[in-house]
Amino acid sequence: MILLRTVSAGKSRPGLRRGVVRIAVRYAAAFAAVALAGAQDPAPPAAGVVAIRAGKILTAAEKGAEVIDGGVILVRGGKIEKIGPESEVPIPPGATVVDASDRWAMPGFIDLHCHVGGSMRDINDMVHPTNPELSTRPTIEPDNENLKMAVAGGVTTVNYIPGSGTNLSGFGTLMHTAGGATIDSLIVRFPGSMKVAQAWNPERHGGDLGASRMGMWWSLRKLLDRARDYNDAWTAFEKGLNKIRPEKHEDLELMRGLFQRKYPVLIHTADPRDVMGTVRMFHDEYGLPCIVSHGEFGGYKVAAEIAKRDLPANIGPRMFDFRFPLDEGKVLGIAAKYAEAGVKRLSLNTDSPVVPQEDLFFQGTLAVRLGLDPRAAIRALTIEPAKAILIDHRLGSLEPGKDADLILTTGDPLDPRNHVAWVMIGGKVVYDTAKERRRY
Amino acid sequence: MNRVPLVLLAILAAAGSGARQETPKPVAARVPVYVALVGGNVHTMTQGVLKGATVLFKDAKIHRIGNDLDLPEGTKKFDVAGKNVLPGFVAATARGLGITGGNIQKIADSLDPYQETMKLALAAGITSAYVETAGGIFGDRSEGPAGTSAVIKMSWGDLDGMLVVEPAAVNLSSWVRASPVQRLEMRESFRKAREALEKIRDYEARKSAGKLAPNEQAPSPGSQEPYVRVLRGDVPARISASSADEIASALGLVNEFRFRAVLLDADEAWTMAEEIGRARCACVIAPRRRRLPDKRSNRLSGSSIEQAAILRKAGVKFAVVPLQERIDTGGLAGRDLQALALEAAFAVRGGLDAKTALEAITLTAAEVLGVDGRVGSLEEGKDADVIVLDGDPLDYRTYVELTFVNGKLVYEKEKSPYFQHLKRAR
Amino acid sequence: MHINLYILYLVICVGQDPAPGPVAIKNVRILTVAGAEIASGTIVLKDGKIEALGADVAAPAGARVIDGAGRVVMPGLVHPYTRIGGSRGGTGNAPNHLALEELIPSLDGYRPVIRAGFTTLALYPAGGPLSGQAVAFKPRGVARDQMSFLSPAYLRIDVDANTQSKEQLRLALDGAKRWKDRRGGGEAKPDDRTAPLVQFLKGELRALVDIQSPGEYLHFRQVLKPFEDSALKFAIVGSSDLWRAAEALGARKETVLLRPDPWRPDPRDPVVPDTRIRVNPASELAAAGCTVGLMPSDDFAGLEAHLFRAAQIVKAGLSRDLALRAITIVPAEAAGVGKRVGSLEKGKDADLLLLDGDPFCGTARILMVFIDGRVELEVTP
Repeated sequence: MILLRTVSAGKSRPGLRRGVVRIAVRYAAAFAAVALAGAQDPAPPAAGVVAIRAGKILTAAEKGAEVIDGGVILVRGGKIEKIGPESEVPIPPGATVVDASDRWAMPGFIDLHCHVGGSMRDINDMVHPTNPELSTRPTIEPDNENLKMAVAGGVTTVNYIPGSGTNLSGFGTLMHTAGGATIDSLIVRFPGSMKVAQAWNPERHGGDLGASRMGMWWSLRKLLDRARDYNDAWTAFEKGLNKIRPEKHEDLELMRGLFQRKYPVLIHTADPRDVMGTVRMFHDEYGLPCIVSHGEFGGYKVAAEIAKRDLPANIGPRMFDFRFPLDEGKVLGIAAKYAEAGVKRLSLNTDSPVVPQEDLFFQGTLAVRLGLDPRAAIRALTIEPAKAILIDHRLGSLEPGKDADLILTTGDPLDPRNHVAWVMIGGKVVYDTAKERRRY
Repeated sequence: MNRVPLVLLAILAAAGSGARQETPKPVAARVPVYVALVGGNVHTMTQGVLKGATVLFKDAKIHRIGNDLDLPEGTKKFDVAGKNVLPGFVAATARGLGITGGNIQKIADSLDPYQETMKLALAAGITSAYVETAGGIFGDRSEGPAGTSAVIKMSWGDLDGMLVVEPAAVNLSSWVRASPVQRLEMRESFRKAREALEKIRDYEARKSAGKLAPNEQAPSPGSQEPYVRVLRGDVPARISASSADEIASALGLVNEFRFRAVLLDADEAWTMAEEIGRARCACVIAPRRRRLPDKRSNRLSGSSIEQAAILRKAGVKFAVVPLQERIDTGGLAGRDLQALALEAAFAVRGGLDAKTALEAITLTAAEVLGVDGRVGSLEEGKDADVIVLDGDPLDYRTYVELTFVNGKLVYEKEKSPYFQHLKRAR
Repeated sequence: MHINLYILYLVICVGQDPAPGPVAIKNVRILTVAGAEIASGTIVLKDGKIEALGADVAAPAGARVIDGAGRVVMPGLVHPYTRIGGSRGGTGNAPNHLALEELIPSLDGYRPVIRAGFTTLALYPAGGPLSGQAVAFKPRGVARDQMSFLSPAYLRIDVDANTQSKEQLRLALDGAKRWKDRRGGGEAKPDDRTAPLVQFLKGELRALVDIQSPGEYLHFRQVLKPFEDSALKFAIVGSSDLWRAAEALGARKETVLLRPDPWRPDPRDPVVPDTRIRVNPASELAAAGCTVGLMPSDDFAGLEAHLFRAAQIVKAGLSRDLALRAITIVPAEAAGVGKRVGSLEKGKDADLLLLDGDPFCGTARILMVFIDGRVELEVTP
């Protein structure tokens, strides 16, 4: 808990943070041990180690085996300590063993485009076209029904974002779906991303600024210019290059993180023109880390441009184009079309509640049905979203040193006939169908 | 398959028109059309799965099923070795499918055998569907016995083969949400209907015994007609009841007047499966439907993914429908009628066995609609509504390759502009 | 004064009318439609009729001789289903209504009709499902009986896919069938409303059936089923969407009159919904076994573009021969006037067009229009 709060404050420099993490881990480990002792076997897990023996492990790791048949995952202090085939990873004596030989283990799923972290009425403030000072953080409702369902669908992390009623609706929060009773205890990182909506939904019809794309894009550019200058001024000051302390602007504070590449901007965008506009503005002109979200309604037609720049595309909630590629007249799998164009950094979203949060896996199911490679689909639910939102050093794959966010399923996770039986977040078991009623 | 005789008739008509004679036209010798699906794994639904079997159609009906059938000369053969052959799926509720818009008096007169949406239904393996008009075809669940309903077939291009039955049900959802006064009126209607039915039965008994008074007219049920239909068992009543309270209220009415009922939207049915079973009600369920649990209540509440499995255990019959009971081409995939089989897969997710899940979109769905005498299984004499799949019917990668309705090939993935380019995932 | 002038005008017009002098167009390419094309020949018009045509026909003495070298003669265009010439509003369900009674003579609007090459039109009565009987007329003349040459031309039926429309039609046909089938009978006659349907069932009166969606065709056929032993004669007018029922229409060899949309640049409408899969409805129907006709929309743009539209449809796949029939003899026969107009044959009405090139070349101009042998339009090339 301390760990999460400390990191979420976002002040610590990397070195310092590591120190805090180390201390925090000790606390967390102790806490986890106590929790597990209470929840599981009465035998005291001397080393505070949980060993998960799984029939099959999908690691989603970039290096090493992607699939391990008959593997073991050792979890200590909320982190993955070791992972490998049973023959190579002996279970230390005294470890708490989770025997899941008939289950598949994999990283918890990550949804970068989620609106159900709190009450849904709190995510659109529609007075100003751009709202860089707003964020979803205070609107989080821990343990809400949608999050409960999310966990049961294997979703362990969401980027809970505002919008898309305005051009720039504010900042999202990267949060866990379970494991804490308070807002702070759920936060993985704040901000998760900035949220921009380029097309359609934010178009305002009141005759004010932002009634057209001209207006929207002017507003955004003007704001991005200010934020860049602001960041430059403060960076210079902080490095001692400039002795005069710049004026503080609360509305630009969070945007500094974009220019420091601490977190990306996620852009709701649709149709080829707006997808391309997004790429041009945020990547080409401002060089910001960005995520092209949705990308539907024929957006795939410029997918090659996304591939060329190696940008992350975050596809959903629609999984096929039908009416919009008018020259095709086919049912086209959108994710497959992006992959076909060479987009490697592909993740899927639900835009929950548009598609319920628990059906994130099902977006993968449909993507595969409509032509995406199944391996790419698993990556699109795990490591790719983690990379896109710059949290892959902690989440998204099962590798030593990473957070113990993992799920156990009764088989191929993309097959709706299988279900999620057990979920661990940060080393803590948050859902176990052996002990509680199935939710999904 | 009606085509040949039609052509003959047209030619005869053309030939006859010049002579304009009174002599009766010679009846064209009707040559039956035989179609055989050869060598597939035939999921009969009633006799298990027959490996490498052949299904032979004679015109619009299934003629024979079995291994090593002798095929009549001229049989059109489809090699379906290694494929799965199933009865076409039955959509227990569908909106707007196969019917025109506008003000519909009788569905039979407003069928649209060339509706493009139907092609998408056929691509999803759907060959029969329940449609209704009350409350607006595209509107919310209709409430009230007005309007009409029908079970129709997706017989592309064939109007005469499209209607199975109309009316197919009476909608009594209004009972559940009615005020006490309205309930009083409705109960009164049922009582009157019961009396009317007694009179009708008495009349019919005397009629068959030849004991009618001279010029005696059959008694008219009047405005109670829909209720009479329900009490007589002609059609089931359909009642939308989501919460346990609503379900209990519906069951109360069913138990009082003893009629065949189908519960729709019954989210909390799993909490009272035994009661539903005792009242012999069937259900139409969407396993993924969500109803939040009632936090003020100690009892079990809300929806459950295990609904189907629990109902099965209690012996309650149910059909599975998707979340959206219509065809949606907006891109939000896997939630509309095009995902009917996928929705059944979610019933399996909740613990239901695969066989019952498959029945919930074929034979049981047909039973719930009262048309199981014609569709829902592969049996000799039943309608030749058959689909050929490239894999397990509940596998998310599986595509429909061929769809036959009334013995006629009406969908072919290889030739579909919408789907031909999609290949089955490994 | 006013009245006198009018009378004078009438006298002039009517006085001129019976006697257009003989005309011979020689050295001209003749698209007869009835038979083979005559590469170079002469066509002689006399007393409102085609007197002769052929490669070695001589111009009669005293005839106006027109040199048609490099030019083309074809039958005048036929518009079988129009409201041009009618008054506003419909008549509802009144099979006994005669469109002749609402035909307006001397309409300014007839000039553009002639300019566009139309020499015969059939005015249908609006309303439905049985709105009455059409009149075939020529767009010239100052009095109804001078213009009209067949009334009733056909019974007009409008079918919709709904219970009311089908029931009305079914009831009317039932009543007619009872009359037709009754034995003995003597002097009694069916009432006015039933009579045209009795004629229809007997094959004495043709019908044009307005069908907008392909499904409606099957509903119409369903209603017709108990009456199919009758010698029914009808053609179908409808939207280009009818191609989707091509199999059913073709199986019965129906005549289908399509109305291409003048505002769409490509006759291959994107008719497969939600796609750009293009279909040429005329070709599809022809391939399925239908007899295909084309008709314009009633606005000037539609009339003016008719020849050009037909050329586009040829470009999109319909054979040239079928396209030529589709704008002449097919609509003429559908409107019940195929014996008088729609092709160039000896004895038929002298209704024809002289063009400066092939009608489907895309740039052909109409130089002369003859109606009943009379020059109605003459353009100096």
